Formats: sequence, structure tokens, C-alpha cells
Amino acid sequence: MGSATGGGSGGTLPSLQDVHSTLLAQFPKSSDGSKICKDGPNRTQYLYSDKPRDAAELLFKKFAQGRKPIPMKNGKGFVIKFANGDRVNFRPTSSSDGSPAIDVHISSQGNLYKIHFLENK
Amino acid sequence: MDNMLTLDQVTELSSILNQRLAFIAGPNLSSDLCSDFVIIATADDFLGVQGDVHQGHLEGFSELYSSIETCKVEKEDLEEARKHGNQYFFKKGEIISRIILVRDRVQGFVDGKEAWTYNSDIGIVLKLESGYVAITRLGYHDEMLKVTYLDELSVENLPATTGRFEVDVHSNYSLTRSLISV
Repeated sequence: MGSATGGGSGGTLPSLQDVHSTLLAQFPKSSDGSKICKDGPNRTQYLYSDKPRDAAELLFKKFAQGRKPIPMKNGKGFVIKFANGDRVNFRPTSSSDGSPAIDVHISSQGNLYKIHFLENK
Repeated sequence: MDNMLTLDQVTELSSILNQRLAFIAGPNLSSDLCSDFVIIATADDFLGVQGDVHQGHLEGFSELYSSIETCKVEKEDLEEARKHGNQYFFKKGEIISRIILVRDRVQGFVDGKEAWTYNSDIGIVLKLESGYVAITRLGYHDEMLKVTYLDELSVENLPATTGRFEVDVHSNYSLTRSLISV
């Protein structure tokens, strides 16, 4: 197969599943949805802060673990690629409510976790 | 809800039928063969395949749903792919003798009764002389595409698709994947 360089998947970097678990563990669990919590597969999670865009960018960088975000051709955000088709999308403006959003796709589980960033209530 | 290639896109796809494959490429198509944009280069032409997302409503639930679309290839796209070494010459020179769509039918059930159906084209497969090249969506809700080279084509050996269709004590869903010749 042809030549290739770089890309985002790789090497000794941790898997997306490990990164996801580690990052979610940093947020306290809450039953009212006011903090990020891993409350089951396919649920939308919410993170409230004074500056949602900054919070989203910060968390996206943590997900990246040094990988380079790739802008999407349709201009609707950025993606970080992990091994085995796992990936994290950052959409600065989600089409549902306009808030920044991060989507975490873990192919091995067939699951998608969605995190929306909202202003403090 | 239906989310399939348009007639114009199918016609555009058909334009590469009976041409010789030159290479598969993409500005960001690194060695994992995953990208939101893939270029099919034949001896005579270039065809772009792009993943995109659109807001959709299924049973009152608003969500981003992804689509696979054909598009024009710009000179800059080819140059970027070449510059980064993101060109793949496997099966070069083989004739594209058939084009096949991969279509998913996802049916949602609530308390055992069918509540909704989602039909979506999730991939394009080129039949070559010694096998197949598949370009398929990796998710129902994002742009990422995956290129797979196959000796034999079956729905089982195509990459799985991530989604947000939930299973709980009342709800379930089933997936039927079919291959449709263009």
C-alpha cells in the first residue's frame, strides 16, 4: 500500500477509552446533570462554566494527548484520530443549540458520548 | 427518516464505472485510512467522497446525522495529499467493474413494537479485478470515513458504525445492512 506519513493514531499514546475514563473521573458525579458524569452509554452530558468555549477547548486539548487536531472539510469542527477508528470531534458551535460540543466515538463499544458546554446557570 | 445519496450523486458515482483505478488519496488520509474526505483517482478523472453532518429529527429527537456525499476534487486537495504522502496505489490499474452502495436500515422498537425507521447510505464499494475498495462511514452522527481493501465483500467484514441509538428495558433497535448495485 502507498506511502504515508504522520496522522493521529498511534504508538505508545493511550487509547481513547483510557483517556475518556481518566478525564471523566476528574469530574464529580451528579444526578442532576449539572456536572459531567458517566451515566451510561449514549447519554448527553453537560458541563457548566463561565466560559463554555474555553472549557470546551481545554477539554478537547486534554483528549488530544498531544495529537494534532484536524480541521474538517465542511468547516463544522475539528477531529482527533485515535487507533481503531476511535475519534473525538470538537464543534465550536453545535447545530442543536449553538453551544460548543465534544463528541467521543469509541468504535470498539459502538458508542458515542456527547458533551455540551453551557454557561453557568 | 431517510438519508441516502441523491440521484445526481449516484450518477456522478457511475461516471467512474469501467475506468481504471489510479489511487486513493486525501489531504488528511493518513496510514490509518480514516478521514472525512477521500479522493478516488482514476486514469481519467477524480471523484471526491465526503462525510458531512446535518441536523435531523427522528421521532421528535433532534440530532446530527451524517451523510456520505460525492463532491468535486480541487487541485489543492490533490497537492496536499501528495505533499503528505497520503496517496495509496494498492490495486492500481484495475478496472472498476461495479459500484455498490452500502445501505443501513435501523429500526427502533418500543415495548416490542416498531416505533421508527432510519434508512441511510453509509458507504460506497468499488469492485475491482482482484477485490474491493470500500469507503464507509464510521458513525451515524459524524463525518469520519474509513477506506478498507477487501478480498471478499460481505456486510460482516465492513467496519462497524458508532451511533446513539439507545437500548434500555423498553427500547431496542435492530440493524439490517444491505449491498445495492448502482
